[in-house]
Amino acid sequence: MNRLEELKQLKNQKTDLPDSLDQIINQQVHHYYQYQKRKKYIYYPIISLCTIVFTCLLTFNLFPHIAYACKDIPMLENVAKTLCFNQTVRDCIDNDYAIYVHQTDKDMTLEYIIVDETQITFYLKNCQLNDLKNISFLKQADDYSTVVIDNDSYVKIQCMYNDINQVEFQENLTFTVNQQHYQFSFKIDKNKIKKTKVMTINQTIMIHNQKLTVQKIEVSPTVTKVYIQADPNNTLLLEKAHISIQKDQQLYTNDTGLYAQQIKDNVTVFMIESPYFKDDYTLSFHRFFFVSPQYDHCPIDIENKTVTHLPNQMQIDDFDITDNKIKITLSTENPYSSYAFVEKYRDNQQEVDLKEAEFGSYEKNGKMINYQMIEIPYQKGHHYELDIDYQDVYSLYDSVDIHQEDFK
Amino acid sequence: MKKIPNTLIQQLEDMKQALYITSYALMQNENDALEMVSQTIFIVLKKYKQLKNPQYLKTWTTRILINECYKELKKQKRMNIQEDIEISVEDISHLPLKEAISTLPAELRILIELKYFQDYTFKEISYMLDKPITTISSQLKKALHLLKIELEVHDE
Repeated sequence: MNRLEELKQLKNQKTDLPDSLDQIINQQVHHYYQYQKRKKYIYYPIISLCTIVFTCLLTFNLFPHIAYACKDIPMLENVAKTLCFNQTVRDCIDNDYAIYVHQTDKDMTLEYIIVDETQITFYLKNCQLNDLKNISFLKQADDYSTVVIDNDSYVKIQCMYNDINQVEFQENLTFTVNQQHYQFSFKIDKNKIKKTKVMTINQTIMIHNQKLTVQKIEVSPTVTKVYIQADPNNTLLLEKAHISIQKDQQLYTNDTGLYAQQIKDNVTVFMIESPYFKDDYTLSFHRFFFVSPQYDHCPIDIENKTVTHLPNQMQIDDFDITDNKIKITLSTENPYSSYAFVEKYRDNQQEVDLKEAEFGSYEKNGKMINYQMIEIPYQKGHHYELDIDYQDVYSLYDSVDIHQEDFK
Repeated sequence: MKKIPNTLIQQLEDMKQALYITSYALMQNENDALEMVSQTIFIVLKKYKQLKNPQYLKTWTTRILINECYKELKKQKRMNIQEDIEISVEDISHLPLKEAISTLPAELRILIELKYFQDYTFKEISYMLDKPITTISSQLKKALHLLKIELEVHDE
């Protein structure tokens, strides 16, 4: 058989077709109708719902004024509450204490203002914090802070007042950015400012022989101030306290960002976010940081090759005297200390800047040790003292809970 | 729900045999060939409205089928089941020409199948395989040359 005949035979040969091929079209048509049904009743509703949720999520977070406006619409109120990530925006919607402005001057927008008895907070959009100057409200304020929030989308300007009722508010906010002048006008109704709740506690906490008294807390809609008085006979100074406000779970904490302020010699005010609109919460103290009083001059005892009156947590690793040099290595295990222990010394009461020093750290028994190596020119018969800029830090754990029902 | 036109169903009925043969030429396996035809028909039912000129339904469907077969062959190659396919090739070969065709690589085998067994024109094959006519022509020459060598070896 030649190839052409072979090809003809192959072409004419009835290929063995499987029986299932007969039904293949019907099966696929049936499959297609089922797929259409699934698409209609399952896929499309799911896709639509996801699209709606995603759109709301994006809208409420990009445009807080829309979320704010939704608070009066019965169904959307809950949606707005659930979807807003930002605690402040959520509080605005929940409690209706934000003054909604949404006013644009050039490229910047003043979105809203929150006023309570302790501070006035402006939320600005598209604002460059680094160049912010001449803020008109700061002239009257006792203290202020500017913070970038929400991944650079807002700048929060907080102007703090001891008594806001004594302040005559201007009805416009002016400031300068990049030599451009901005002005926004608005109205603040002083009658609507919510009163700060002051609650007396007067509870004493003893931690490692240090006596502290939680005097009172002041809760305004934007901030909680906790007043802690240290006993004058304490041997250590209170530096920091980790405080949280809890209700079933932790609501707020001052671990990050918020700060303390000393108002009198031994009273420190710690600030946390506010549970103003919540009831039945607990104030918890978790950890206190104390520091030793500042060390001043530590004399070098040449004969005994030591330094006297060193801070408790500091040791001498090495002490060496040659004809013209004193070499000392000081170290500390304190994880909260930085390297800079000695920057100056005294040579016969004469203050001299330290010129030769080396810093470093090494590990010993699983702990990081920071050290400083000092070299001082030595002259026989001279008296030397080190100016040590160092405070021992004590991190003391204790857990004290004060429930709101104990407040007076 | 979108209703499928009866004419489309009829046209698919008419071309199912040709589709199976093309699919078989590539897949060399009955089950895989049927699976590819099923998938192709489902895709055609889903997307037939995208076809602007109904005249090209057959070439368009064949193009979809070939693409699906290539996808499946790639998947199988990754799964290393090439040996099973070769065994089944030997089982179905009877005529020397058929045997020689089955030894060709898949991309050349499909050219022989479409041109000489299903009598498609170069233009149609070019559309189905998404390659220029000149490439189709030179690849076909190459396929024929390989076939000739294979058959000469067989004759000896």
